[in-house]
This record gives sequence, C-alpha cells and structure tokens, in this order.
Amino acid sequence: MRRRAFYGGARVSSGAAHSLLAASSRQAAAAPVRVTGLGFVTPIGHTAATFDDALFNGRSAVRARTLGIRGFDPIELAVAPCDFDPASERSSSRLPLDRGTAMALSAARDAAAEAGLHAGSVDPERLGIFWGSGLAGAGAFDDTTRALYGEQRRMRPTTVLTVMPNAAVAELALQFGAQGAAIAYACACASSAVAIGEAMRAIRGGWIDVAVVGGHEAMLTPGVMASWHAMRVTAPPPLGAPDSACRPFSGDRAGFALGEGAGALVLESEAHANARAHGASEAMPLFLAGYATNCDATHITNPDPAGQVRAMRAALRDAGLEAAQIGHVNAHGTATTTGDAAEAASIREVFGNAVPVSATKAIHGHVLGGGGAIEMVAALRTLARGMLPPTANLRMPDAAFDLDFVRGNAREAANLRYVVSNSFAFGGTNAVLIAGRAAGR
Amino acid sequence: MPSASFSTPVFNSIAAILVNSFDVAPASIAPGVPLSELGLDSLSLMEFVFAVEDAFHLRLPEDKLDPREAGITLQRLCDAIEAQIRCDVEPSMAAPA
Repeated sequence: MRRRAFYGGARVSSGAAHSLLAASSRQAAAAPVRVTGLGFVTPIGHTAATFDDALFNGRSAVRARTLGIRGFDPIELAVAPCDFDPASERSSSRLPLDRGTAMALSAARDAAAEAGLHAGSVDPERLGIFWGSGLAGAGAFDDTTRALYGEQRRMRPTTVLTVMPNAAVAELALQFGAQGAAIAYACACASSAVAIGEAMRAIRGGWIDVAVVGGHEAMLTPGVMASWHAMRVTAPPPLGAPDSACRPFSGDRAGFALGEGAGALVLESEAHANARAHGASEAMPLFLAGYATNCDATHITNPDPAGQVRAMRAALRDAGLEAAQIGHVNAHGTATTTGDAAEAASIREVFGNAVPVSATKAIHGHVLGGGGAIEMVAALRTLARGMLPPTANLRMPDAAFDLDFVRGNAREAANLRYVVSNSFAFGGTNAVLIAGRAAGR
Repeated sequence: MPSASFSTPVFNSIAAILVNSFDVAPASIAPGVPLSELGLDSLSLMEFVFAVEDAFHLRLPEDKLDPREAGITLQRLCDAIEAQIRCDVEPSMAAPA
C-alpha cells in the first residue's frame, strides 16, 4: 500500500503528467531544485568549520606517502587521505563495509541531519538515491585479492556485495528506506556530478520529491595507487613541501594528488522544501539551477575543449542564465598539462576572461568519482559565504591561460548569485552543474 | 552478556563478536543456541565465521563447520575453535589444510 506523502499539495502521479513535465523542462529553463542538506568526509575536514578554514585559506591536505610493493622499487606519491575510521559506521545490511561505502554513509547521514530528513518526513516512494563513484569498492577488492593471491585466504562470501558499483547506493537505500530510485553512476571523474544532475532532473520531472545524492571514492590502496602512478598523471611530492604537489593552472603543474572522500547533498523540489521545516538551510536557501552532460567522443583520455564548451553552454541554457551572470567557476583543474590547457581554453571561450576561476583539487586532491560532489560542496560553501576560494599553490599561472584566477587570498564576493562547477572525465564525459543562492540575502 | 557458567574465553570472544559486529542481542546468545537461530542470514553467518577466524588467527575447516548446516551450535563452534588451536599448538597432530 502506498504510504501518505509528507505534503498534501499537487503530486504528479500519472505517467502522462510526468512525460509532459519532462518535455516542458527540455524547452525552457526548468525550475531550480533546493539543496536542503550538506554532508561530507574530505581530506580537508568533515564539518563546515574545518572545510571552510582550509577552503578559504588555501590550506592543502596533500602529503607524501611511500608505496612499497614487494618486488618493486618504492614509489613516492602525493596523496590526500581522510582522517576517517570506517569502523565508525555500521551498515544496515550488517555486511562489512568498503572504506568508501562507510564514507558515503557518514556523509549522507550528515546531509540528512542538516536537512531534517527522517523517517516519516518523506514518502519513501518519492525518495531516491543517486550516487556516483568511479572505482566503487576498489579498496575492498584490492584487500580481498591480496589475501587470495598473497596469503591463500579463501574469498569472503560478501566480496561481491562490498565491491559492486552500487554497493554504497544499496546501503544508502537501506539506511533511508528509499523506495523511489537507487541508481549508481560510473563515469570516472564526472560520476558524482552526473549523479547530482540526474537527481535534479528526476525531481524536476516529477518522478521523486527528495533525493540523497553525491558520490565517493576511496582508492588509496596499493593496487589502485600503482595503477594511477603507471598512467603518469600523478604529481611527485616536492621534497619538504608535499602539500604543494598539486598546482592547477600553474606554469609548473605536474599532475594531481590522489584523494579520497565523500560528498552528499539532499535535494528537494521547491514545493516539498517549502512544505516542511527542514533545518539550517532555510536561513539562506541554496539551489541547483542548471545541469548538462555530454561526451567529447573524440579520445579516451584527451579532453576536447569543444565538448566542454558545449556542456557549459547547455548548462547555462538549462538554468536560463547568460554567461555574464556566473560569478565564479570551480574548475575541474586536475593540474595535468593537457587537462588544464583544454579547460582554460573552454572557460575562456564561454565566459571570457572576467569570471573568477578556482581549482580546489590543490587542497583536497583528486577524489575522482567523488570529486564532483565534494567540489559541489565547495561551490555551495562559496555561495553561502559570499567568498571565492583561492587556488592553492598557484604562484605563476601558465602564461598561455588568459583567465582571472583567484590565488593567494580568498576574494570577497558579497553579491555572488551563481557558481559553475565543472567535472570532466576519462572516457569523454563532461558534466557541468550550476548552483545558486537566493537574492536578498 | 551470557551467564558466568558459559564464560570460557573462547565463548566470551565469539559472543562479543556477535554483539558488537552483528547486532545480536546478548540475551539470545548461549552455548546451546544453533547458529541458524541467531537471526542472521546465510551471508552474515559466513561473515561471522570469517570474523571468528580473524579474531583467533586460525582457519576453521569448511568440511567440519558449514554455518548453514542446521543444528550447529555456538558450543560446537567453540569446540571447533579450541580443536584448531590445539592443532596449531601441536602441528604434528594437525589435519592436512
């Protein structure tokens, strides 16, 4: 039997009505979707206070780690780990948790608490989980196969359930009793940005009212770190200053630092959010205004500025905004030679050189599938504080890049209304999200 | 926790694993209770055996202790653990792994 919806207003319930709503949303700027809760586990902190402190002071959590694998020379890597104990989380399924799934549960619980989301406040059939991860249970799989091949231990019976790409989604659905949707997105570094955007579409389309969204990655394990190192895209930790390893848009950039973490948002339709008291976010409404995703379809790794331009312009159209209305761009900014050059060109083409640009991977590392969610958290904190974060370690921007980089100190932006967050992935997937805050603050 | 008469170190350890890691109510834990009546599904029961193996740093022979088998009690699990500990202490008496 269908349980009663929290609010008694006009619920779209027929498939035909859903289709009409979805069709109309494609033709003109669609309604914004409220962000009523934020939660995160990141290398720069798990609370707004610690996160903001690092974000607006450009304080990097990147450090050096020696990767020792028997039979190979030690590898010095720059990594951004989280201060997080997965044993602090208990799964609803009572199965062992992959480290990343534990982070996902922690972040989502904090987001739900901020949103005042609890059993009975939402119709379970109108609540969805949309979650992204690139490698999902990489840690659990690395541990399990190491035990199998190295120690001749038998496979755990729950291995499949802890490493499957939707492991976190499944646990989140159990935790929240979400019966509306439970979908995992895997498109490398755009995974969680796509998850957030697709949830936004589902709410706009009337399919659900509330979604717990975001993503995670926890892959600071020997096999995965060695894999990334082999691609030659990771930055070496400078002697004596490992926190400066990742230098986005710098003339001397040398790649990224692998990070880990999870970011979670609670998204709600405007009607649902207005129909209930939902906690701290009421004081200063934040919302998602636009989203677009597409694919370069030109190369497996090399980004195509033309594809990025199309994605950013599509997101602007989706939000009903002009480029000049965007007050800040949180760039994908991986600090690779090719990646930053492509993005600098695409941002320049869409926004000119007047929009301030920051890249926060310098301080929290590249969280891959979880990066889009953590960077959306940074974008929302940017809006909430009316302050633009600096790009850490950016002393000398690449002379070829004609952009207004925020560097050194944070920049005041009291009238900030809209922020773009870019996520561009291996495989060519581009995802662009636009967040906003209500006027009259 | 279980009553003092059951308080061998091995039994107390596996009881603690059941309570702390698998949310089993202390009142339902006793030597004569079959594993199948602990309220755990088959996957959780096998994970429980893994957790026991990790805790005691040993491996229980699968042919002697399939937790899905009806009638295996916590006491029988304790006996298997203690037998395996004796095998590890006296390797000459150990069955082939």
